[in-house]
Amino acid sequence: MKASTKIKAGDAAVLAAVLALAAAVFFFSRGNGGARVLAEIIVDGQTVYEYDLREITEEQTLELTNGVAVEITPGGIRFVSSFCKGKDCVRCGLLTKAGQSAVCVPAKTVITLEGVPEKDAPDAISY
Amino acid sequence: MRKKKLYLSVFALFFSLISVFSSCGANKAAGFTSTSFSMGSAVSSKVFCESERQAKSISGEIFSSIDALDRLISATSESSETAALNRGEEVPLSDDTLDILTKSVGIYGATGGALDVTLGALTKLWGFSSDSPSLPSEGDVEKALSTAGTDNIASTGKSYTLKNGAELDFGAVGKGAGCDKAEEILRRYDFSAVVSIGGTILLHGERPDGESWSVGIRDPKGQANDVMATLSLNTGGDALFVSTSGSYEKRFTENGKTYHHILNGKTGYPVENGLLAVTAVSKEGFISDALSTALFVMGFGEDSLELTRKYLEGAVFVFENGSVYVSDGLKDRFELTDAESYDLITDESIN
Repeated sequence: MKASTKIKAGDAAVLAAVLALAAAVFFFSRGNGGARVLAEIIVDGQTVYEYDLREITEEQTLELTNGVAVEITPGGIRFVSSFCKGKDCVRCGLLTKAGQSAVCVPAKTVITLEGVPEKDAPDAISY
Repeated sequence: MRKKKLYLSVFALFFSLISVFSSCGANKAAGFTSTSFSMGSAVSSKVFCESERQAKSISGEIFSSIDALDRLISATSESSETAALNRGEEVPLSDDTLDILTKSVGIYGATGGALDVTLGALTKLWGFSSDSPSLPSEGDVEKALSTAGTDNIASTGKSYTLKNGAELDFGAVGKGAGCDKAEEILRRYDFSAVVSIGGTILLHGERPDGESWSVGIRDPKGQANDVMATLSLNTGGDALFVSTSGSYEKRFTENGKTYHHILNGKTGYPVENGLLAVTAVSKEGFISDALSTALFVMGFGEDSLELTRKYLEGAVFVFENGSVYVSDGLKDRFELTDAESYDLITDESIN
């Protein structure tokens, strides 16, 4: 007896559920509407702090031992003060997009947002 | 039996879909980034390979190579060959320093002195590399200018010395030369990479996803991560270098006037010619770095365009009034992303 190739209503429902579950697992794993973005503080080439921005619920300021202060917010990361005279690092403002970074050269400190960059984000910025 | 097969199939389908969705979302072009500090700047190296450990190892080699070059040519490091020359000593130069010095003298000639590494006394006087740059007196500027000129570089066999109180400063070419050293390292490996030394960019190899590399040109009127345009660049499997010189870097205000760090070797004062920034693209880091500064000093005109055609893949000139000129070599690769603040000008609108 030849087996029927028709999909029964119950089987179709199971398939639909699998599709929906797989999509849900994927989108849930990507977080709330976007990819995970890690805020990193790197001093002299070593990562000293790392935060998942999705887990930041309120502003917090870190006073680093090298004389600079960095603020982490739910929306990004920035230098808020530095011992250096030029304060170029502070003027960089709030970093909000994956791939952005700011540097305090005298303190050898880099803050950066690591994650999947936006589609049109450049590979590098010349300045 | 049929039910069991069905559920096994459903199980397999579930994981297949997860896999497919995940691969769609993943950035296949992602690499591993390392950062360091050298040449008075942040250095970043992003290597595109499967192993993070290998990427870090390659980046470590790159940083070491750049550091080694900096130890030779830095004007501010007491133990460098440049510092020894600046003290008036007779110095047997290393191959790397000699190579950079020789190329610098060549570019001095080609640019009519617009790129002059013998302005060390003048750059030290202004103090842009220090924490406290300040406006020098006219007399001091005149005195510092009188020491400049490549004819003050003397060779005695394998050793070199500087005459007339001349001092060297390789600040306008060092980052490009550092990127050339990085390229030497990367040529030993079969991985693509992006290296940045304080905004001078090396693009090595093809972008892993087959697309063009995208290099943003910093908005001279904006903040550090603001971009006013992008260049879509293909290396052809080799390497390209992008350098930008702008009046927005290293500046101070005194008596209500703002002074920037790009000095005119003829006047001794910061260049004022209507330009905000010049970006140069070349197959050699030294050239892109040297020419971005030289073109800025020369200003926009037939001479600078002739140099662009002769030495570069192309150049972008950004003016204080918001006009932007893109040379022929880059016109098809240039996209203005901030059309509100800037306007592209054409050859017709200039003539």
